[in-house]
Amino acid sequence: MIARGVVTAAGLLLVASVLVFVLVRAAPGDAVDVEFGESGASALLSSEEEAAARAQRARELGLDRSVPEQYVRWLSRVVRLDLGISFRTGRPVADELVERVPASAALGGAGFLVALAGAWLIGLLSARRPGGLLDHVLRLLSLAATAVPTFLLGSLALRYAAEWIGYPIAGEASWRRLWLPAVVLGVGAMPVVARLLRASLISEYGRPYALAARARGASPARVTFRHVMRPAFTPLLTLAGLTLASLVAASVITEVIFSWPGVSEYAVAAISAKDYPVVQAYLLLVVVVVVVVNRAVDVIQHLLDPRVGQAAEVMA
Amino acid sequence: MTVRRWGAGYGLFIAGAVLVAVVVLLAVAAPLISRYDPAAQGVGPALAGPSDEHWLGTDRFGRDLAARVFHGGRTTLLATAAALALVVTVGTVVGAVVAALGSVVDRAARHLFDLLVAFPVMVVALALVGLWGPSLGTALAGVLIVLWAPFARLSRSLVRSALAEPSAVAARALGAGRWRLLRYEVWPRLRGPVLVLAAVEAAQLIGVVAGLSFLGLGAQPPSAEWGSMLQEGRAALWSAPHLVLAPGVAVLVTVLGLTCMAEGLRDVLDRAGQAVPE
Repeated sequence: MIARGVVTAAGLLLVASVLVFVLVRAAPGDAVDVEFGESGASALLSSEEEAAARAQRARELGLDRSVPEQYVRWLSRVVRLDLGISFRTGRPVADELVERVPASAALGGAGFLVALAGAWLIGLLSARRPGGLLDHVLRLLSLAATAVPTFLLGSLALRYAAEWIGYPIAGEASWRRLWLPAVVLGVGAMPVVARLLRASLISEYGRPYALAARARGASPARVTFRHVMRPAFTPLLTLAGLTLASLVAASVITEVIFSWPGVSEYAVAAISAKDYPVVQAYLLLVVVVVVVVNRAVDVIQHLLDPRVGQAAEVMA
Repeated sequence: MTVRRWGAGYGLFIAGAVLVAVVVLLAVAAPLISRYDPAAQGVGPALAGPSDEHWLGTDRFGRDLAARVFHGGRTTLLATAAALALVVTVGTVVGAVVAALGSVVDRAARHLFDLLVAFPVMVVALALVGLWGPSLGTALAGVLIVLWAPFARLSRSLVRSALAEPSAVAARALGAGRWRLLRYEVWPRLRGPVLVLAAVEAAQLIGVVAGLSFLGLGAQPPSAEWGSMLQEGRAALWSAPHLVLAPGVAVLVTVLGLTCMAEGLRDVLDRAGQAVPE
């Protein structure tokens, strides 16, 4: 099972790497254009000299070879984590990215926890009486929360938190600065999680063991917390995969608004500066994280409950 | 039956549709509603708050914000609608073709769809903007590269299950041709869920493009467009938050309307025992 997961992940990564390569290659201007444009060397050379210098540089970079050959060379460099040098800072891109991963992971993790805590509360309250008033109100609130754009919530939260409670708008990554972007991130991911937990709680309440517990005289609270809670939370794992994409997307906006020194903030700054190696490395990093997390979730689910995969197989 | 048809889902769907219709109407009728030219500078004092003269206030060049929000809706909504029509068509057709082909193609395609669906749209759009330079077109193209996949995945699985239905098998046994099957067996089972997904993805599309523009990586000033207005407003967040608030709320209302439509429709389908997309 694990072996199959690894093979699928490797296959997907290979496909994804071709897509990334094509995307980067299809962009206007290659590395030679960028170099000659950047250094302004062309002003000092005649047009023939420049053409010769360009051809020379293209040969050095291997750009005169066939496209499949270039892809293989590119991939072998990427696999060795040689992601090139940042145009802006002159440092290896891999090093700069690695330095920023902890901050992004902390923000993403904290955001996920906020989403989970909020969704837990919403799920419990709305599953108590499905179709009841509270259920409807919470559902409308969830809809509203889904509709609030991250940039609006984020920028208003930053502005008014800074004005009213002296939230530090700039500075190092610290706990004091983490909570607000984490809440903004969490609110966005909350409705999806809450919907899943609600459905799962309702289906557990309807199972014979829960009814039996009620019949034996266990209070609703006892049934909820002692009996139903744990099985209802098994689909939690699916959530990690489900919310990952939305968390990554929302963290792009959140990191920039809160000047949180994470990977996305770095990438956005690089984009504005046309720092191609960084853009490419960022794309690769996200591809790897998405594929690995999704495959891992799949495999762990199979290991925990072999029925899950079979059901999915039948439905697909 | 009638009672069931007019259940909670219907109300929510209608409410969402009304919201979206109002937004579209305001955008279409923009020249009739607002007294000011959205591009005219100095029609009022710079950075003024809302007043009787200027319902939503003015921006840093003294342009009327209400006029800009209404007119801006035209670009934003039109671009979104065009992009959405494209991904819905391409995705649905690709998914149906793959399902009809079956075997190896089908299985390989399933993995590709899964990969693309799991991928954050925002990041692809960011990368494309990074490589091609910021513009509304590039941002949209980045979104389109991935956004057809959810439709392909949905239509693939719906077409497969529809063709396996007893009625479809019977129709085929009676000699129904490909088009007849498509029209009477597949399409009725496909349209509802595709519509739900279309509303969900339209909301996402608007959100992502507005978010990119907010970062200065989408639509560029001085065009009156919600995204570019957000970007201009961001610079003045501290002194005049209404500059972000006006186009931000416009995005919010549109997304809310679309979300309500999707949610309501989902209820209606659910009650009718049809497949419901995530």
